[in-house]
Amino acid sequence: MSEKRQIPIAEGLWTKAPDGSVRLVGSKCKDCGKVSFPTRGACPICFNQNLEEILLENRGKVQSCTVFRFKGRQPPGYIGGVVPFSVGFVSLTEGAGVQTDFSGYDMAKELDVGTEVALGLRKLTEDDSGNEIITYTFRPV
Amino acid sequence: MNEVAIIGVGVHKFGHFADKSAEDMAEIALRRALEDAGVHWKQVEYLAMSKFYDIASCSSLMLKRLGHTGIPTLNCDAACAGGFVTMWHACQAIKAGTVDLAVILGAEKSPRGMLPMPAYGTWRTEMGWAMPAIKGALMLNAYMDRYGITKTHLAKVSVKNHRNAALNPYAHLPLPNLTVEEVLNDEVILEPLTKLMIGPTSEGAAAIVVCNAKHVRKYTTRKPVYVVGSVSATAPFTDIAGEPGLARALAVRKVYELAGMGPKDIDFACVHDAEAGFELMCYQEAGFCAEGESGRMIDEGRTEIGGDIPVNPHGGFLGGGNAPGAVACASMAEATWQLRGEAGARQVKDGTPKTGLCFHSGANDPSSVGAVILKS
Repeated sequence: MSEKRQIPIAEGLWTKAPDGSVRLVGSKCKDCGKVSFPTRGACPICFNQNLEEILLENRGKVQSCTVFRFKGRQPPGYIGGVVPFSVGFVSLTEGAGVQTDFSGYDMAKELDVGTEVALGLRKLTEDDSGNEIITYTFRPV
Repeated sequence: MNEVAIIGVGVHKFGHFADKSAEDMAEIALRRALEDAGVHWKQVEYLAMSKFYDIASCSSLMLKRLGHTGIPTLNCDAACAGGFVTMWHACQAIKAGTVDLAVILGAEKSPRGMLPMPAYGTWRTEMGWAMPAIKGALMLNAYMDRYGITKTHLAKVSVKNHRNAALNPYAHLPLPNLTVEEVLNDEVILEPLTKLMIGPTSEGAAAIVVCNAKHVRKYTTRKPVYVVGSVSATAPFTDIAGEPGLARALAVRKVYELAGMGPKDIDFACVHDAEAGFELMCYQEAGFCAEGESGRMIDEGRTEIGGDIPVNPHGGFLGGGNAPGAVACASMAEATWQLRGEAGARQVKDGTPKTGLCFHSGANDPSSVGAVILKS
């Protein structure tokens, strides 16, 4: 039997830093300094293509959070398979906004704006071969 | 440059119509608008059609039904902003003198359930983001936190618009006796929104006939309504959850500038209320209240039909129904009826309003946005 693997939801969203920590990978504009996530071909502010890849800080604050609770419904294409689930935006220390999963807390209510959160990884689902599909997530510190 | 006038409007009721296609409803709305103006299809020189789902060939299909006149057509997928985007294109053509008579048409046959986003990039979709209401709820949570807006404020918007819908024969969900408690106690489907705080997924169509204002009398005996400002844009980049609101605020600023007007010149408005919080944000974006004062506006009843600045007298998306491709044309049809003094029981300002502001954001990413100011 082949070994079950862990497969990221997409390539290039995060990596393991030299110190062993998991870090999101973003772009920094060498012209205007704007940091953004995920990496992109052109700066979202000055539109120049003079970008470098950087590892982002793995902590930030909840900018907004919601919990999807609609019984019997799921957004199209959602592979998590479980409702409720929670998503939202995190503002990282460098100023980048990150669209993220938040589901690793009790979800009795949404996370308050300003809650300090840290980056982590979690299993979103398993594919037909039993491999784990992994997403990045942020959890309250 | 030529000025632009609306000379005919037509709406097909919003709701669920198992026996009708989007094209069936679009044809009915279009023929009603032509009849309202008193013009024949063969006089129409340009058709711009808005639809969000299954948009391919939509305007060509209308030519198949109404007649192969060979006119230029445009298909627009800007969701709830679609009618404003097509209006902008029609205005450009009329202002430039390229055409004198055009129709903008919006129709939708939405999938059932909460509206999905057709294209959103693979991993975001897999993470669960492919519903526009999710970004709406996120924007709202940040807004509520910032300005102290409560769920009761949201419920009051929902009650107002469902009640207004009861006065609109084309509305999807008229609920004349809905209470704030019923809205608050309904099932929470997307924090902080209950089902009754989100516009029902709807089907329907609406059409607007516009012409070169110089030639109004060549086409119609109807009282014209003038398009004194028309804006179409796409949201700028932002790191925060507020992108559609930021885009709407920019569109409103621009349309005021084009019309040479400000918030005090506006008699009523039809604005984006895909969920109840959007309407509150729109009060502020339109400059109807100071920053953070939108909760007080709904508390004081200022945006009721009898208030000093009525908003969504037709019921908006909440009571009227959310058929994305059709809602912007429906807003402009309502504004036209109001400005003609033909809005019946939901008529604002004793039948003599002078100016109406309409603006919506879309659900695409980044969001399209559009606005018009109409004047009697």
